[in-house]
Amino acid sequence: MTQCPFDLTAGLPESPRRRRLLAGAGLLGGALVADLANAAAPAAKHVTDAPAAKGGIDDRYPFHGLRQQGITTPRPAAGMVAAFDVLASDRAGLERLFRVLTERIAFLTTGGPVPQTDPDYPPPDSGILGPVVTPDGLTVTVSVGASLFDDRFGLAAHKPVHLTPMTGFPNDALVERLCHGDLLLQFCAHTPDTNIHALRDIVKNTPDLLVLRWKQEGTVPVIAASASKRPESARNLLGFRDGSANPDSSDAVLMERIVWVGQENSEPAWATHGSYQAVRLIRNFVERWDRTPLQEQESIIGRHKPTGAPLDGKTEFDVPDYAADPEGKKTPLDAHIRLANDRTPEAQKHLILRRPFNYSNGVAPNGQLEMGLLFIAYQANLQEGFIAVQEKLNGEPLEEYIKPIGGGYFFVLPGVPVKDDFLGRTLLNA
Amino acid sequence: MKKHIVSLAIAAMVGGMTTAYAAVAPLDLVKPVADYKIYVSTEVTDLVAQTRAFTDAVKAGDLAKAKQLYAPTRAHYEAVEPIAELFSDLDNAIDSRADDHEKRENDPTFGGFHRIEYGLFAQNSTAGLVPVADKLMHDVLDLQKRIATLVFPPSKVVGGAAALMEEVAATKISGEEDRYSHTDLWDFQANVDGAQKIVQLFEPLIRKQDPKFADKIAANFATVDRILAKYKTPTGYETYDKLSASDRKALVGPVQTLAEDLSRLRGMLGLK
Amino acid sequence: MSDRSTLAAPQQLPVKTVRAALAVSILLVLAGLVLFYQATRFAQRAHSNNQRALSVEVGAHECTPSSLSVLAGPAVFNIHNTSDRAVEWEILDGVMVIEERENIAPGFTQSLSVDLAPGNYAITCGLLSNPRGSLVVTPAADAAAKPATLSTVDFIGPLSEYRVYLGIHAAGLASAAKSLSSSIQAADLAAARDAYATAHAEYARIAPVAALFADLDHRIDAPALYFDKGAQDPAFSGFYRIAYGLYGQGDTTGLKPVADKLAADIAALSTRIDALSMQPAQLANLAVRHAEQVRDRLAADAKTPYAKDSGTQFEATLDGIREISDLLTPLLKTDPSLGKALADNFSQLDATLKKLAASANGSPIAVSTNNTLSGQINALIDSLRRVNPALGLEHNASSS
Repeated sequence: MTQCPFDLTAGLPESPRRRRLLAGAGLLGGALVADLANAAAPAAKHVTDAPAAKGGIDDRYPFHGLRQQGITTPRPAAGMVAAFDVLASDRAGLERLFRVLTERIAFLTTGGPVPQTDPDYPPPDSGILGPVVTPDGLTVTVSVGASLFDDRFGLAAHKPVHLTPMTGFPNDALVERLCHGDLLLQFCAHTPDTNIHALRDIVKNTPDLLVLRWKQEGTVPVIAASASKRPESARNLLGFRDGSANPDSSDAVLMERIVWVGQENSEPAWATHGSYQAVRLIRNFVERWDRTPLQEQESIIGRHKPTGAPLDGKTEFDVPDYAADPEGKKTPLDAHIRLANDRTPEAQKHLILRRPFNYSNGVAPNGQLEMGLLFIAYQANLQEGFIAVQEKLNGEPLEEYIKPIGGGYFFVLPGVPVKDDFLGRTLLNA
Repeated sequence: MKKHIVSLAIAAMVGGMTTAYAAVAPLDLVKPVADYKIYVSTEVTDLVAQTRAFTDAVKAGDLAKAKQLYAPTRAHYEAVEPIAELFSDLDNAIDSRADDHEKRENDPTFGGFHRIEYGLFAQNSTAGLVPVADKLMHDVLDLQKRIATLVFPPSKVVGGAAALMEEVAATKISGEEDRYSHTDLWDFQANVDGAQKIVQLFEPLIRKQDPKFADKIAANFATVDRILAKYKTPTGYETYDKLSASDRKALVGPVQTLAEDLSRLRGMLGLK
Repeated sequence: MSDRSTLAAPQQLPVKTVRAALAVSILLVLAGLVLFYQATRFAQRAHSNNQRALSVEVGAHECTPSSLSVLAGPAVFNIHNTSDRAVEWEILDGVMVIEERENIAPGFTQSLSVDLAPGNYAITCGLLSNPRGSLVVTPAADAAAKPATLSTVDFIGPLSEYRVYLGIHAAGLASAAKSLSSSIQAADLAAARDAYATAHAEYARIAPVAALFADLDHRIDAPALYFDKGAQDPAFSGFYRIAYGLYGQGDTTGLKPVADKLAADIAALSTRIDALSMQPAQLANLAVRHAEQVRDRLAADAKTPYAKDSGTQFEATLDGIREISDLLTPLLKTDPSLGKALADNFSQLDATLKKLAASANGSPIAVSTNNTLSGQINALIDSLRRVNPALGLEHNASSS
């Protein structure tokens, strides 16, 4: 009998040896072979079965506190921002809106069974998460735009000092319908469906109070947790780690200084424990980026792509030594990270807490991909924070590959410290 | 036998991933770069002359003549875009589109060719365009002066071929460049001509590195030229809406492939 | 068969001859000692400059020695003119002039410093009709190159830009030469003088490179002094011959063949410039050489009564050198003081030129101004000499 010349297992009766050989020939076979080698894993029976729940479905971040969740809270895999116009016509309506939001968010982030109602009526809950709403690490952060402080609600005198409508920077191509809003909600959870469920819940409960302007969902790549190493920053859609130099959100003193509005910020008293929020929808021209030599990509960003290390360092969390490189021979003077933070004492005044997501939408008329960064940053002083940093970045080489198309400036309301309190109370009582 | 197959596979993977090119003597790039500057200077001289005729027509209120001169004038700018856009202030002033400005067509900072295009083709009038025309003429002359004293960075020259094809892929394929006049095919050809010029100047060096690669690029340019030629008219090109869906589709492949292939030129010629 | 065991008896020389021979040999020894002393002094001077020095004598008909050999690297040549007319001395690589010293007055010695790469060169010896000598440069024992802070790629931009500059002004030169021919043809003295000034100025701008092509440069731009019979020499041609006609004699007679020959030589020059492939080190070297030539010619040009275009000519010359300096200055980041020094040198020269323009009105430059200019050009040369070392470039690369 002639043996098939490509039968790798010919003449090998024992299955462990066969498996080893197949694993060795994994160069040719890839994942399929790995599956065969891992004979112990259970095979999925039906394609449309729900994937096994990942960890965290019962994660719960307490709603009540001095400050809102979703800022220094660890960032989960799925995010969404939704901007609204407020339809309430007076203060009473605005208060009602804030109370409804408070009540819904408190429930959604805690979880619990959905109330049973008469089937003759539309169900109050979309049912996406089933009869019991699981928290799934949900946080919903409520912020307000400059337009809320117009003559509708008599709040003009209480507007946070730096809150203005976002104006375009030189590289911007802002699309009006993707910008601004009276109110913005930031939803974050382990899975996108939790965010969608929360959004639909709020929309259903505010038909006469809110109408959507624009929304953008985003994700963050998940990596296997490693108990030993410091967690690495997630990558953005340019393939680079994004967040390496982000201030440490577990450093309470630092957060007090750079994120949370307090006594020293010359803001109205009601705004204490709030924060400024800069949201930017930044399209990435990914086809063009993927046609750029790797070395040029690294020079533009200022980091080594595979590791995220600065160009004069070894690991992602090494701090670049710009003083030793005054002419930019190691890290170009116009590299993104160097422009954003040149590591001088002056740069300490402009630290911001970034908490972005990657987004992937559709296809542009020219057949190119519409994907990019849902950029979100928090700071106690918008002018010294995001605006100052963006001004330093104006004209950077990265601008050939990015185009900000939307977003806005908002102010995150202080938290709800006790149960009978509600979001926005300090503002309405100011 | 098993080992043999495995090593064959490894060889195939590695062979496909890297191609070793011989080092190019940097001084071999001097003449092509110099010749490119001469080409750009000639195009810009033509741009100045034609912009003068164009803006004169606009200022004289000669709507028909201004419309006629719009596209042929712009072509000289589109051909040399890799160099022109080194001066971002002038590039913005001369060639920005409405959506780069907050208030779009009504934004007072919206000027240059496309602001005039909006007046001529969308509003069908030369009203209010005199200051825009004057500024455009001034900016084009400024561009000429700056290019005359610019030492052309070799990397921008060689990379310019890919940059022009990116332009085509991003705005010309979809007719987004000249949205009021629909004269995108003029600009399309100008971008392609500009890219072809650069490739032509460096062709002997490219061919020495990889004759098959040089042939592939030439074939793709020929395909693009052939399809665009179908839309030629005695005075220039048909409007973008005349581009058939099948021809548009037929253009996308070569354009994207040229963008990909030309993005390798700098590495191939030893430039960063 | 001769008997090898016996030697032929020595012939007896007459005593007078012996004495004469002795005297001659003593004189020779003394002369040798003098020469040895002189050579030692040269060598000592060279040693104090950390360089080796070689002496060359340029006589009426040849060089002595006519065959030289040095090690690669920096060298000093002391050229002693023992003839009775001003001479120039050049080191040639084929037709390209590597280094030269012009206008060495009779009886005087001038020194020339040059950094040579290994190769075979020729040396000129006085009159253009004299036979050439040879210079062999052998590789140095230690060939350790200084680490360059710049790569060759950094020079592509400046070399391309210089190439474009040459192209533009060669084209301007060709066009002006054409006007010159036609206005001489039409016997239009005013138009011819205009065209001459324009053409001569365009040549001045590209002269650093034109000097690489010795044969053409000599036909296009050699002063009368360099020819055996001066202004009457049948080989005297080019711009100086035309200036002699248009200004010295004040008419266009007999200039048609000169103008035609000039146009033909200029066309040949354009072709050579187009085919030229320059090395990075040549930019500064050409600027230095040309500045030296200009300085050396100041006196000669001042003596030429018909060099009426001196002011504009000088300005164009300065522009040609400044172009090279401007192209290299951005690369001098490791030595910012040098960039400033060059800027100062040029502004001093500009100031002197301005004063000239205000007063002279087209007449030859006065001797006192010559001295000022000479000093300022020397300052510029010193700065320009620092450029290649600052760029990490040393040797003149031989094309052979």
